[in-house]
Amino acid sequence: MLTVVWAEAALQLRVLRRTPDRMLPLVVVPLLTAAILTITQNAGRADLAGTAVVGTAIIGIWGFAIYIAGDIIESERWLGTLEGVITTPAPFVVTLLARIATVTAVSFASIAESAFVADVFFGVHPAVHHKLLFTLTLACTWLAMTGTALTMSGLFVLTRAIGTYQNALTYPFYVLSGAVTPISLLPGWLHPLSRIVFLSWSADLLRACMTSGGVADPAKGIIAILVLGVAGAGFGLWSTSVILRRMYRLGTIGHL
Amino acid sequence: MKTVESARTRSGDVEVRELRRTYPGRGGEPRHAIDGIDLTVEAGEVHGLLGPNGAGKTTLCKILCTLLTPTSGTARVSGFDVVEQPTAVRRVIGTVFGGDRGLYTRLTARENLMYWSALYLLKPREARLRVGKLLERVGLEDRADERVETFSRGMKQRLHLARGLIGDPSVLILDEPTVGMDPVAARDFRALMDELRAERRTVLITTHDMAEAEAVCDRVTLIDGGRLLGTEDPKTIGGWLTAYDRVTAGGVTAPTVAAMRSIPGATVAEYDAEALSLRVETDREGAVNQVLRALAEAGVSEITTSRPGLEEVYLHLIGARGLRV
Repeated sequence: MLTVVWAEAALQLRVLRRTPDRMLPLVVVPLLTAAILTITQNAGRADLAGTAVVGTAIIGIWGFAIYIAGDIIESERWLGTLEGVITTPAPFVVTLLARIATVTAVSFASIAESAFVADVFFGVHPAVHHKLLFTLTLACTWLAMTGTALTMSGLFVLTRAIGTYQNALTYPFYVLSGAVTPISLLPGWLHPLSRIVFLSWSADLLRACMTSGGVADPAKGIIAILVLGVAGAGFGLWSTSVILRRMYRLGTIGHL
Repeated sequence: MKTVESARTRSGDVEVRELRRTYPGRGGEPRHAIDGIDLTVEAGEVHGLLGPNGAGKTTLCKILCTLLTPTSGTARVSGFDVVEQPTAVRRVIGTVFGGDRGLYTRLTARENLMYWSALYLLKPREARLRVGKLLERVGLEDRADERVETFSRGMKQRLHLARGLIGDPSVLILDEPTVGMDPVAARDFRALMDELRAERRTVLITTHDMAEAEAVCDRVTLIDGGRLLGTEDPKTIGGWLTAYDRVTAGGVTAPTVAAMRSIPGATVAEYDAEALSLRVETDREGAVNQVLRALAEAGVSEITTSRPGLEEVYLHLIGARGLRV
C-alpha cells in the first residue's frame, strides 16, 4: 500500500508542478504578508509581526487546501481518470487521502513564504521559541487539514458550483480561525463557533510558540486540533463513502 | 440467429444473468438502459458487443467494471460478483474507455503508466519492466517521455490500451477502444487483439463498427435498446456487410432497370430517367453479383459499389426501431 501512497504523492506533485496556475493560492501569500505587515509596522505594532506571519501562513494553508485538495475528485472526473482509478485494486480512499495529504503538506510552504517576506522586506525576524511544540502543532494541523479537506473533496462533488462554495469557505474561515485577528478580539458570540474550527487552536498555539514566555496549556490545544481533525476525517471518510455509493447507484462517476 | 438463452447453462469468465439497469426517465417512467440480458463470455474468448449509440453497451461495461450498480440481476467476472466482490473483480480486470479523456495529460506516457502500475500494486522494478514492454507493444516507446497533451487521439488510445494491460488482467473490458485511431493504428490494434487471444485473455470489446467486430472477435453479440438480440460468429457479420451492398450506376436505360427489378434480393431504390442514374439496394448474399453481371451485359461501365453502415444494416435486420436512441 505504501507504493500507492508514494505514487499518489508523486502524481500530485507533478500535477502541481506542471499546472502553475494551481499554485496561485500560495503565490498570493507573500503579498498578503506584505500588506498586513505594512499595516502593523505603520501602526507602530512591531509586536504583532508574529501574528501577521502566522495569520497569513494559515490563510495560505486553508486556501490551498480548499481550492486544490477540495477539488481533487472533481478534477479527476473532469479528466476522465476517476473511473480508471476506481477500477484498480487500490482502495480509492487511500489514493484520495494520499493526494490530499500531499497538497496540505505543500500548503505549509506558506509558512516559509511569510517568514521570508517578513525577514527580507520588513527586517522582522519572527523567532520560534518553542520549537518542539511548534513542530508538533504543525504536524497535528497537517493531519487535521487533510481530514477536513477530505470532507470538502467529497461534498464538492455534490455541487455544480464548486467555485462559489470555495470562495464562500475562505474569508469566514480566515476570521473564525483567528488567522489575522486573534479570537480573543472577536465578538464573544463568535468564540464557540471559532473553537470548532481546528485552525483557531493551531493559530493560538503557533502564535504562542513565537513568544518568549510560556505557552498556556499546550496539551489542550494539541488535543483540540487532533479531536477536531479526527472528527473531520471521520466525517470525510463517511461522506466520501456515501457519495461514492451514490455515484455507483446513479452512474455519475464519469460525469462532468 | 442463435438465441443467447443457450448460454445460460454454460460458465465463462464473464457471466451476466437477467441483468437490468433502469434510470428514471421522462415523466417518471423508468428507462431501461439494460433490460434483462444474459451473456456469457468464455475464458480466452474475444467477444464483441455490437450496437448503435445508446444500445446499452457502455452501461454493461460499467456494470462489469464495478462502476455502476445494476438495478437487478447478477454479473460475475472470473467468478466474482461485481456488486458483492468489487475489489476481487478489480484485481482481475483491465479497463479501457474510449475517447480522449482518462489520462493525465500533463504527465508523460511513461509517468502515466508508472502511476497506474502502482494502483495495480506492482513493485517499482516490476513496474518499470512492464511499462517499458507495454510502451513498445503499443508503439509508443519513442514518445514515452513526452507529455500526453502533445499526443494525437490515436496515440492516446494506444496509451489507453497499455493502461488497460498494466495490471496483467485476465479479463479486459474495452469500450470503443478504436475511436479516433488512424487505419495503421487500427491494424496494429487488431494484431494486438490476436496477441491477447494467444495469451488466453478474455476480452469483451464494444464497438459500433461491424468490420472491426468481424476482424477481431471470436463471437459477436448484437445489442439494441438494452436487449441482446443474439450472438453470432464473425462470418455472419461479414455476411451482413456483403449482403447489403449497394450499387450505383450511370448511363442505365429503362430496359436494364426492368431487368434489375427481376433479380431476387435486389431493389431499385432510385432511378432518374433523364440522368440515366440508378441506385440498387440488395438484401441477400449474392444479389450484388447478379446486379453487376446484368449491368455489365447491358454495356454499363459507370458502376460503383458501396457497403452499408451499421445503422443501415440495423434497418434491414431490426427495422427503424433500432435507430432510436
